[in-house]
Amino acid sequence: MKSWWFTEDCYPHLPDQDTYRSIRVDLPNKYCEPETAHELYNRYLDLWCACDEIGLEIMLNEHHQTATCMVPAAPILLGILARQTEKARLLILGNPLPNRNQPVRVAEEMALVDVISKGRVECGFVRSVPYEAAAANILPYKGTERLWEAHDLIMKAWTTHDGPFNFEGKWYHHRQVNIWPRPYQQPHPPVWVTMGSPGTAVPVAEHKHVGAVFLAGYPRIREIYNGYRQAYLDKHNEHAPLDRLAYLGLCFVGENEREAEEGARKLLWYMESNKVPQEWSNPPGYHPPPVSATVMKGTKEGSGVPLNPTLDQQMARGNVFAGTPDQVYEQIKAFWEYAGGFGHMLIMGQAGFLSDEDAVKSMKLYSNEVYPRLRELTKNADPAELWEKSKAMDAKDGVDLGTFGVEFVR
Amino acid sequence: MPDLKTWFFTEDCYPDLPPQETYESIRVDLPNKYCEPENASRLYNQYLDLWCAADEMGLEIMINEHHQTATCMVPAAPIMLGILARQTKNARLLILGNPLPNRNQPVRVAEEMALIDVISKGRLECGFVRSVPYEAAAANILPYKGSERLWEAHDLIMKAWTTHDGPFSFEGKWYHHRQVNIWPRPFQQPHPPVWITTGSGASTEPVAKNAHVAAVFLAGYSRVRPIFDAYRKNYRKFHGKHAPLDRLAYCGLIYVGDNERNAEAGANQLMWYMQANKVPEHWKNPPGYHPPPVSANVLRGAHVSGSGAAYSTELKEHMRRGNVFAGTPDQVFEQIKAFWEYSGGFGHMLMMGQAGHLSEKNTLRSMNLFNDEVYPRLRELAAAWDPEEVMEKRKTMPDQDHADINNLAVDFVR
Repeated sequence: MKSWWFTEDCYPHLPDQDTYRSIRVDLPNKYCEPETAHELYNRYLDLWCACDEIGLEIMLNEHHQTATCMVPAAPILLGILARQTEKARLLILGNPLPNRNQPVRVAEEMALVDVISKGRVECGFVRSVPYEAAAANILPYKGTERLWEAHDLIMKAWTTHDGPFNFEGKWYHHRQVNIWPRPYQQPHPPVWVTMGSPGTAVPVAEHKHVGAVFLAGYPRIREIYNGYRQAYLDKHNEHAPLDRLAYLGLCFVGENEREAEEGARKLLWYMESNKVPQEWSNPPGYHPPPVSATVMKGTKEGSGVPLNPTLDQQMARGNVFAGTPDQVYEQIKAFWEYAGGFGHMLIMGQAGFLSDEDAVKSMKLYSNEVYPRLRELTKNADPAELWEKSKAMDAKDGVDLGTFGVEFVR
Repeated sequence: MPDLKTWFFTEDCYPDLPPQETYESIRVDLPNKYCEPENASRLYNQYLDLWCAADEMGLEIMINEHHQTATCMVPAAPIMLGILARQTKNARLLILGNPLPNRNQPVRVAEEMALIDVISKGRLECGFVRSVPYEAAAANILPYKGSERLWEAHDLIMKAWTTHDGPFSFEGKWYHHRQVNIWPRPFQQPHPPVWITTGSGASTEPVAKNAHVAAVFLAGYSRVRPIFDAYRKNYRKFHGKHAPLDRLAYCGLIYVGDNERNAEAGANQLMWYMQANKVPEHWKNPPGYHPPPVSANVLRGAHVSGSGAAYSTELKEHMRRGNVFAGTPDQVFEQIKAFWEYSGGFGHMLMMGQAGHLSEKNTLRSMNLFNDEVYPRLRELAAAWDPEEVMEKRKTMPDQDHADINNLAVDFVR
């Protein structure tokens, strides 16, 4: 089991939520004070450098036109970390392929970072969440189809070394593809793809890529993982190894319960701040009609204000793991067994106003006291056996998150 | 007081190639099997170390990007610039530049540049270029009307950088974008300094109109005057005053040695940049890129053979032309001074200081000598600059013409 430390690089110094309609797309960037933003970026980069020293792997992502994540170009931060870290694997989860209409440039950027880092890139591809469509100025329709076609072009660009090829797809057409440099890792860097439903898991499993699930919690994790496992088994005639599945949750480890609860509450900023009106969270064509209808039913009269379940409810749901080292281990273990096992724990370990000091303290406690036990747990685990055990467990439900999470899990 | 800044530049080449006769082109279709990953990793880190050294010694930093070529292994200059934003302290960070017509999402360029500007605490200098003709194939774009796309993308980026009160929509001829509201906005207000490359008198007009820095690459004695003069004239026309010295930049190859012998040896290694540029016609003259008269020139060929082999390059000849400055510190100062006065003056010396197999050690030696012994004198020279005086003095220096520089430079100067 590998653990990947992640922060979205938020800009939390905002006016009262009642004074704006949306934290995404159209929140004026006048609120993004350059001096403060400068300090924040360097703090977040320092935190990732600390991961490298502590022994955690690194994960980062990108969003656009939003205070929830100030990284509009994750490859740039990945490049910095390629040069400033020594050992950590560098996961970008991910490149929003349907929103970047030059897949060959993405292939080039990833190859460049892979070479600079001496082969430490783990390259995620995502369709990207619905709010990104407006900022990216793209048609939200058929994003998944574009994702996979761009994926095919990138894989071919990475693995062709004997001169240019032409690619004529439905969405992308490119002549004379012959990228310099080629990736460091041969045949190519490991690929990750996010999945939010059993259906979306199928092509990921068929390619043997890592399937990552964000915040599905107890109510949804099994059906998605099962979709992956079944497709993997069908296609490859063997059980999916644990390292093909990843789960992202918020995680805070404290020395005692009080400290852990305080830290975890601060992490919840990530969920509580996500005020997004319908025109951004449900752009026409993004969701299939039944999902779109669910979103349209809305929460709180369609204000876009998140439902904000309590910390206890989020923990019971399997979205947040928080407590002393023993407690966090038990929480993750229980979820891991229920889910049928996974090989990558993606830790959102910083959000909102959580200080560097607290974030690093939690990282160290996790690394020293939780991580070794999780590795022990997974070391000799048999995927087939875990899957059987998981199937035998009673289904567990969780609190309604309203529209939150519909961009990750549908 | 007028000043002169010096910017250290290397293209990050991959020089360990098979004999030139064994391949048709160093660009676009040279198979990337020649790009050995371990060696490439060593080279990138060596080049990044050189830029970090530039910061420590007091030189500014310049980087660029090209695609599918061993001459420049940087397919995404913003990534290198991001690294340097975090690893350097004082140097200004010039990207020259973002190939706007080849990147069809100008708003992403605006975002990338703003991100780097904020990480570096406002040290970004942002270049926009149409990009050279060989890039068209690798970028998979139509080479036609590149300048028009460059300027429209420029307008969109400037608006994205300077709009802070919520989204705007942009409806141009080439680019259409709704809801533009970038996060973060740039650190520098109203926006980072902008640079544009210019290759002819005519192309200076919009640059001067916007009061951006105009950069000229390797125009030499034969072409620098018409371009710089056109910029100055346009600047006066639009702004009613002389163009400040810091609005003009010139890029040449520079090697400073302890003595003439090792200066010549270093400069000859730099010449790899020119000697290695073997490019056949179909890449350097894509239909629609050049105006017809220039295209016809290219079609006539650099060589009787039309083989596309790089133009035969003699160090001495390139020094006479003002493309290469090489020698002891005194000699290099005199060479640059002569060219600077001939051109009417410029405020930025873009120093291609590493190329080919030139070692890290020898590059650093030249950088240090330049920094300690040439740079201070150039700054003094610039400090005494007077726009009218220099033009008076120039009258004593007749126009110099030189043998046709042919295809190497037609990408830069037309």
